[in-house]
Amino acid sequence: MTTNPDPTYSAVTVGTFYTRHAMSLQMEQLAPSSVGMEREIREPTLNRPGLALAGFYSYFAEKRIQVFGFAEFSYLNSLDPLEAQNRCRALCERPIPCIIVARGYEPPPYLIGEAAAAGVAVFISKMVTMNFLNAATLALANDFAPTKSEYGSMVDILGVGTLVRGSSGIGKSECVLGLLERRHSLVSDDITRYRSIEGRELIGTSPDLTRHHMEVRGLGVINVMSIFGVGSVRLEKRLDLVVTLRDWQELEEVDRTGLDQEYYEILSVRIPHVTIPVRMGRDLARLVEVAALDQKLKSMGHHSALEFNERLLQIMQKKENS
Amino acid sequence: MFVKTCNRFRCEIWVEKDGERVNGKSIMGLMMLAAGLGSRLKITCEGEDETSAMDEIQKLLDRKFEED
Repeated sequence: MTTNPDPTYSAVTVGTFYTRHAMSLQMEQLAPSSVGMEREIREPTLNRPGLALAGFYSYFAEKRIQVFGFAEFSYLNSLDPLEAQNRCRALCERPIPCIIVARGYEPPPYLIGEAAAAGVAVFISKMVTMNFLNAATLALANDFAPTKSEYGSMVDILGVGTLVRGSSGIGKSECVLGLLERRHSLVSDDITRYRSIEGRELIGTSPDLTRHHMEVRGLGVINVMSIFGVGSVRLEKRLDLVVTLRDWQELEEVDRTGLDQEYYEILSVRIPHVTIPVRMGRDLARLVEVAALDQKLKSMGHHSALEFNERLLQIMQKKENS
Repeated sequence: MFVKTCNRFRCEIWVEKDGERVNGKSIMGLMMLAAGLGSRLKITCEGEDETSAMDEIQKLLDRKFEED
């Protein structure tokens, strides 16, 4: 996957898909092993080629992985062997990414032959077709999810995935250290990679190279897991809150009531956002922690500021009436 | 050394390699780029002291080359 600040849509090759998911999808490749691995999977879903095998190619989903189950083989077996071979050749001659056979079924020699001739990779999965289809679709959705890198550190604060942003030197790392001390978990320091799941949520993770590491001015690069323990790191986390640290002098209007809800957008997903003014002597970690807990309350249906406002209005009403 | 130099300036400094862009003031970011000898980098300075920042960075890179 490419990783620049602009959103990217990853192209997934058959080879990449196989390397990533062979174990979880219980897949094995049929020899010859290098055939067809460079082909691209162009749509993140699967296709059962029943209609195509029957000779009907209108709207044929050739961009998708073709999955053969019992139905497909029953149909092929019902045909004259030569005809069955012709049908397989016609399918393999289309620019399909690859063929996957489910149920651990041993494909007939003519299918293997036609696939090899056309340069199409064939895999066998031991999984039952239905389960394979579900698991493979999820795997593809993940692989195809658009990704974007954000500058900022991400921490999991009691289940609230929080991205801490701010200009260099404002105190992000020290804030994160404070949060780690309070037994929260680090997802990533300085750069966090997000992928969008179906445009409704974002999952953040750290770049492979710098995972578990943090830079602290004065100390250098530290390995957070070694220092704070395994509970202090988290591989990936859904993003629930974005906090921007700003120098208090730069801020004209700080929302003192908490009634306005701001959002920060990443990959077209809007995430609740708060700005925290930074001033010497203020405990940033504590403020960020409270911001995260408040966000948790809101997501559970309790909006503290609104409830307070209601109460205030009720008291004012009572005073007027009396 | 590079990060130290960048941090002396107020402007934003970006370093880009192969389409990946990181903050020049961050050690984590630069390490992530894994830029070995001979890599091509694109450096951007944006802000108050951008020209002096760029000059200093240019000088630093020139000196390193001389040392080699």
